[in-house]
Amino acid sequence: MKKLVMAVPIIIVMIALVAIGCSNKGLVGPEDEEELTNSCVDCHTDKALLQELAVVEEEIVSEETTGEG
Amino acid sequence: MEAWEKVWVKDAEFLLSTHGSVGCVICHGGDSQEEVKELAHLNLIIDPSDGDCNTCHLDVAQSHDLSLHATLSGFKSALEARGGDLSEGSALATAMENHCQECHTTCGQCHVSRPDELGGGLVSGHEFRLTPSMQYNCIACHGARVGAEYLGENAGFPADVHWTQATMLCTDCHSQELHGSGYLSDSRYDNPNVARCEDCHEDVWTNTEGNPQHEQHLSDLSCYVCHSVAYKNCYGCHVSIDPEGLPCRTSEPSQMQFEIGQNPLRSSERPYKYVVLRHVPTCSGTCDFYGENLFPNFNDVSTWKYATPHNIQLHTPQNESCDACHGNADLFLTEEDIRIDEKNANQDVIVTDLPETVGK
Ligand code: HEC
Ligand code: HEC
Ligand code: HEC
Ligand code: HEC
Ligand code: HEC
Ligand code: HEC
Ligand code: HEC
Ligand code: HEC
Repeated sequence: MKKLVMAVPIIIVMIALVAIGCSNKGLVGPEDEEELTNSCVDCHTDKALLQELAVVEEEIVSEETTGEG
Repeated sequence: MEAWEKVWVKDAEFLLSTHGSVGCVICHGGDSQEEVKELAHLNLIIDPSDGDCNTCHLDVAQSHDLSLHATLSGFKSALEARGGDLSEGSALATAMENHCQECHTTCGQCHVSRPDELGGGLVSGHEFRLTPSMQYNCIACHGARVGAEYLGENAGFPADVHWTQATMLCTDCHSQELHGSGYLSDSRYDNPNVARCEDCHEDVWTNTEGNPQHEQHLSDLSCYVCHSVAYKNCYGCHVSIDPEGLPCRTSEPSQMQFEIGQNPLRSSERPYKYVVLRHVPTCSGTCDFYGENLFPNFNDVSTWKYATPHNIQLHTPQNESCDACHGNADLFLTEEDIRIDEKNANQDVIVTDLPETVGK
C-alpha cells in the first residue's frame, strides 16, 4: 500500500520534471520563489542546529563494522 | 558516527541533483512546512528506498526485489531445510523477524546510507553513490567473516593478496550481480553472474607450464583448497537474554580452522571434487528461546558448508609441496573433526580416504 501511495506523487513529479526540464526552481510557484520555506533542507544542512537537536542514541560499538556475515 | 552527523546533508549539490531536486518529502514523507522537528517528522519514511526506486530504475528494482539481499530467502531456505516452520505467526517466524531482518538490504543501504545494523547514517552527505563503500556498506554487514578475513583482522592470519597487492575493493569483484539474478534463489552460491577467479586469471587454465600443481589439480580441487588459509568457523549460536531482558544473539567463540571436504554443490560450474568447508553458526538449539525442537530435521543438512574464504595467498602451508597436502590429516575434515551430535548431518562431506603421499 505504501508503495502505491508513494508512486502517485513520484509519477506526478516526474511528469512535472519532464515538462519543466528538471529545473528545481520551476517546481515552485513564481509567487513564493523568494521565500520558500523548506524546513527539511534548512535543518538538515545546518550543522549547529543538528548538533543541538540530535538525540544521542546508544551505539553498539562492538557491532561496528563486524556485521554477522 | 555522531547522531547529528548521520543526518547531516552536507553536500549542497545534492539539492540540485537528479535525486535531490524532487524534494525531501517525495521520498521521506513528513511535512516540509512545519518548523518543529517532531511535527515535521510526522509520518516520516526513514528507508524510502524500500520499494520506491522502481519509478525510474525499474530493471534494477525488479531484479533486486528477488535477490537474496532483499528477500533473505537464503536464510529462510536454510531454516526450512532443517524442518523449521516459518509460516506466519510461528515461533520461528518471530525469531527470524527479531534477529535476521536487520540484514534485509534496501537500495539505500548500498548506495546512500549505512545499514540499520550500524544504526543508519548517511555515508557521504546525501550522495547517491554509484559505487557502495566497502567499509560503511559491505563490511557493515559482511564484517565478521568476509571483512575480517579480507583485511587480515584475524590475529596471525594475513590479509587477502588482492587487498595487500592491489588494494582491490569488494566492488572490484562484485558488481551489479548484487542486484540479483532476476529469479528467486535460495543460496548464496546460486547466482550465475557471480564473481569467479577465472574472470581475471583465465590463463591459469591455458598455461600450466612450470606449475605441476595446476597441471594436476585445477579440475578436481577448487582454487581455495590451495590458495586460502584458515578462516573463521562459528558454533552454537543461540538466542538468549541480554542484561535488559531482551532476546539477543550469543555464540561460542569462533575458531580459526582450515578444512578440506567433499564438494556438496558439485555441478558443471563447480566441478571440483574437493572444496573448503566452513562450519555455520547453527545448532539444533539455536532458537530454543522461542520454543522447543524448532528444527525437527536438523540432521538433514550438513553443518559444514561450501566456502569461499576471502583470504587468498599465493603461498599457503598446504601448497608448499605435494606432500604438504597429501597424507596430511590435519587439513581434511574427517570423522574426528565432527561434533558427536552432528555426525549424521555431515556424512556426505567428510573425507574418508586421504590422498597418499607422492614423494614430492
Ligand atoms: C530520491 C529519494 C530521496 C530524496 C529526494 C531524499 N532522500 Fe534522504 N534518503 C533516501 C534514501 C534511499 C536513503 C537511505 C535509506 C534507505 O532507504 O535505505 C535516505 C537517507 C536519508 C537520511 C539518513 C537516514 C538514516 O538515519 O540512515 C537522512 C537524514 C535523509 N535521507 C534526509 C533527507 C533530506 C533532508 C532530504 C531533502 C534535502 C532527502 N533526504 C531527500 C532517499 C531520498
Ligand atoms: C526521478 C527519477 C529517479 C528516481 C525516483 C530515482 N532515481 Fe536514481 N537515477 C536517476 C537518474 C536519471 C540517474 C542517472 C544519473 C544522474 O542523473 O544522477 C540515476 C542514477 C542512480 C544511481 C547511480 C549514480 C551515478 O552516479 O551514476 C544510483 C545508485 C541510483 N540512481 C539510486 C537510486 C535509488 C536508491 C533510488 C530510490 C531511493 C533512486 N535512484 C530513485 C533517476 C531516479
Ligand atoms: C548489495 C548492494 C546493492 C544493493 C542492495 C543495490 N545495489 Fe545498485 N549497485 C551496486 C553495485 C556494486 C553497483 C555497481 C557499482 C559500480 O559500477 O561501481 C550498483 C549499480 C547501480 C546503478 C548503476 C547502474 C548502471 O547501469 O551503471 C544503479 C542505478 C543502481 N545500482 C540502483 C540500485 C537500486 C535502485 C537498488 C534497489 C532496487 C539497488 N541499486 C540496490 C550494489 C547494490
Ligand atoms: C544490510 C546488510 C548487507 C549489506 C549492506 C550488504 N550485504 Fe551482501 N548479503 C547480505 C545478506 C543478508 C545476504 C544473503 C546471505 C544468504 O542468503 O546466505 C548477502 C549476500 C551477498 C552475496 C552472495 C549472494 C549474492 O546475492 O550475490 C554477496 C557476493 C554479497 N552479499 C556481497 C556484498 C557486497 C560486495 C556488499 C557491498 C556492496 C554487500 N554485500 C552489502 C547482507 C548485506
Ligand atoms: C578478488 C575478488 C574478490 C574480492 C575483492 C571480493 N570478493 Fe567476495 N567473492 C569472490 C568470489 C570469487 C566469490 C565466490 C563466488 C562463488 O563461488 O559463487 C565471492 C563470494 C562472496 C560472498 C558469498 C560467499 C560468502 O563467503 O559468504 C560474499 C558475501 C562476498 N563475496 C562478499 C565480499 C565482500 C564484502 C568483499 C569486500 C570486503 C568481497 N567479497 C571482496 C571474489 C571477491
Ligand atoms: C577482478 C579481478 C580478479 C579476480 C576476480 C580475482 N583476482 Fe586474483 N589477482 C587479481 C589482481 C589484480 C592481482 C594482483 C596482481 C597480480 O599479481 O596479478 C591478483 C593476484 C592473485 C594472486 C597472487 C599472484 C602473484 O603472483 O602474487 C593469486 C594467488 C590470486 N590472485 C588468486 C585468485 C583467486 C584464487 C581468485 C578467486 C577467489 C582470484 N584471484 C580472483 C585480480 C583478480
Ligand atoms: C593443487 C593446488 C593448487 C590449486 C588447486 C590452484 N593453485 Fe594456483 N598455484 C598453486 C601453486 C603451488 C602456485 C605457484 C606458487 C609459486 O609460484 O611458487 C600457484 C600459482 C598461482 C598463481 C600465480 C601464478 C600464475 O600462474 O599466474 C595464480 C594467479 C593462481 N595460482 C591462481 C589459481 C586459481 C585461479 C586457481 C583455481 C582455478 C588455482 N590457482 C588453483 C597451487 C594451486
Ligand atoms: C592442497 C592439497 C593438495 C596438493 C598441494 C596436491 N594434491 Fe594431489 N591430491 C589431493 C587430493 C585431495 C586428492 C584426491 C583427489 C581425488 O580423489 O580426486 C589428490 C590426488 C592426487 C593424485 C591421484 C589422482 C587420482 O585421480 O586418483 C595424484 C597423482 C596427485 N594428487 C598428485 C599430486 C602432485 C604430483 C602434487 C604436487 C605437484 C599434488 N598432487 C598436490 C590434494 C592435493
